[in-house]
Amino acid sequence: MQNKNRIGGFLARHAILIVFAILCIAVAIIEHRFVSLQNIRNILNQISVIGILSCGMTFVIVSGYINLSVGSIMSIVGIVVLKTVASMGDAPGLLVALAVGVLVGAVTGIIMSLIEGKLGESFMVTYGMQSVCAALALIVSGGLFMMSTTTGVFSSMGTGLTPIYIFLVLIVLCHVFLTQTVWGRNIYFLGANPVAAKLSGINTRLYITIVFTLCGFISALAGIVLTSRVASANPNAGVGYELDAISACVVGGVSMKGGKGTFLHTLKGVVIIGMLGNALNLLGITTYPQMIVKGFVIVLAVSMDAFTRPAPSRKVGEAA
Amino acid sequence: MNRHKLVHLLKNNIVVVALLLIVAVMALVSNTFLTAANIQNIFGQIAINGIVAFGMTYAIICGEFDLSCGSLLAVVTILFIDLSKRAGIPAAVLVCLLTGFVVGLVNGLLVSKLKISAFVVTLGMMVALKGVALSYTQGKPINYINDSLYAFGNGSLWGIQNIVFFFLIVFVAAEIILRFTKFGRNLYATGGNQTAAKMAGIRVDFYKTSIFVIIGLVTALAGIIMACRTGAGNSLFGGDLSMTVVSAVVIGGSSLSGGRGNAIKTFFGMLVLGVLFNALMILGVQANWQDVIKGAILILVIALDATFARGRKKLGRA
Repeated sequence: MQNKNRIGGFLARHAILIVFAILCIAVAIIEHRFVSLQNIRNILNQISVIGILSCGMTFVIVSGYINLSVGSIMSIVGIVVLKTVASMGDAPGLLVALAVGVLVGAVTGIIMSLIEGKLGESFMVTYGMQSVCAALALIVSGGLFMMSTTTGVFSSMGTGLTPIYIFLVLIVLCHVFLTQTVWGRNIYFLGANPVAAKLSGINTRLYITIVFTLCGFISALAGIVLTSRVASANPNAGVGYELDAISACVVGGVSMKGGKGTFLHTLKGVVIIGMLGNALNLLGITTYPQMIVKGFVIVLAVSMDAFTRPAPSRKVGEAA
Repeated sequence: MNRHKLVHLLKNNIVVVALLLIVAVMALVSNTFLTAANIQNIFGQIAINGIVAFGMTYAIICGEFDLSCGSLLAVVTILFIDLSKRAGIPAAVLVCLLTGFVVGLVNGLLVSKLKISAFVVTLGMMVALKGVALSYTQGKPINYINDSLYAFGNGSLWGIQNIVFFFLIVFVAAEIILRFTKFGRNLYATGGNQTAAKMAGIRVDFYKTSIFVIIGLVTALAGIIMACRTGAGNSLFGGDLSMTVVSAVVIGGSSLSGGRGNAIKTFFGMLVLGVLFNALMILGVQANWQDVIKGAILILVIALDATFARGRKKLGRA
């Protein structure tokens, strides 16, 4: 029985990769452009924004939380960065834009740490934050589509292969931070067992705040790269990105239960989600039906996570 | 002693106090606020969301939650409009209710049998259903004014709008089931302490599944009413439904940690929100700022609820 479970678990753990490989081969046969050099560059570019965003999300999920507001942080940061870079110049403009992300993240983090909420509360609080930021993005922009007119550091952040480099440098830094430092250890501890972490003297409130602030900062970075890449901003630019980031994390194997997963998992997930989106585009499947696929992917990935683990008794005191 | 009683009374009915406060202030500020037309207006505005709110009350009492109801509402309006045009009204009603039932069942089974967090399951469902609604209509609203349906959705009887009757019927039914039936009692037990409920022989999985089915059904009902009222099926309907509804339930005083709450509380929570946003509209607050306020209210009530829940736990009354 034990053995059978183990084999099932093994298959389930790699099922995503197996299914994905078959899918890639099938798409490559149907649509030759899928494996062209141009398209691979294209995929890399698309991956980078989701990838940067997923780095922030990984911190939050590893700590046992979720953040639904990252997409709307991207929207508002995109608008702010266009305005500030045009009026203040590159460096101050970028700093202000990053500060907006940090501010939103810090507010979320402080609220979450004050109420010592669990996964459920983080869903609701960041859902509210998403609504606030999305509406603020509309207010700040006046609902208008804005074009970038500057050339400089900001506009070079999204051209050529720069987004890829930013993503790769960021993910390496994050990986080192999470796996090689005391801070990272404590974040795992917080995610695995918040009560034990607190009882063993870790300032859990501080860590909750840090994690959300970090996520806000990284989301702002993703917003800047996206805005620079498309050289324009609109108040809906970030809509739905949070779902891509969450799917990338869980598909890659970062557990929603917290305390489990590294940035290697994130990288795997980002590649899978990025290529999936690209394949669907090439096959001529439009945005709307793609949403149906995305919804199923999230549930499927999390179900597999549930299968590969021995059935847990629910954590004591877990809200919902 | 008497003062204590008063404080206690105020604390337990803080929503009613807030409601009276807003009404008092608005009655002074605006002379259109306390008119029969505006009061009808407020009830008309909260009726559709309110129907879903009673379903959500069940979920929250049971310690669960549903994010997907907004997208389901959009799908149902589209289905209802399209089918009533093509296949007739009875078939449309049947298919819509069935859709709600199936969506709820899928959510419920994934949560209760696979033990996946309801947040994740319903998040996935929310995205998938939104995709269905958008694909079905290509993002454009579909209009169809059937005279009898439109008359039903916008008519009124004895000065009360038809849709408000539905709201009140669902309200009374929800409260009676919670208060006087075995189903209601077991729901509180499941939400209050799942392990204890299981030990006591309550089929926890059944209750967890059934609350999602209930939400699916009431959302389908709300969607049908919405379609009749507007004469349109639109993928944008229900965008902030789950947020409004959860705010209302928690403002009323039901707790996200489960085991507490009832339909009367939700009724007042819904009324406070309805009156508040009506007041904002009368005061001329821009729609975008109203969204900011909506989000902030949700954050605030969740934060307060979590803080109170911790306090109860410390006192051993969790």
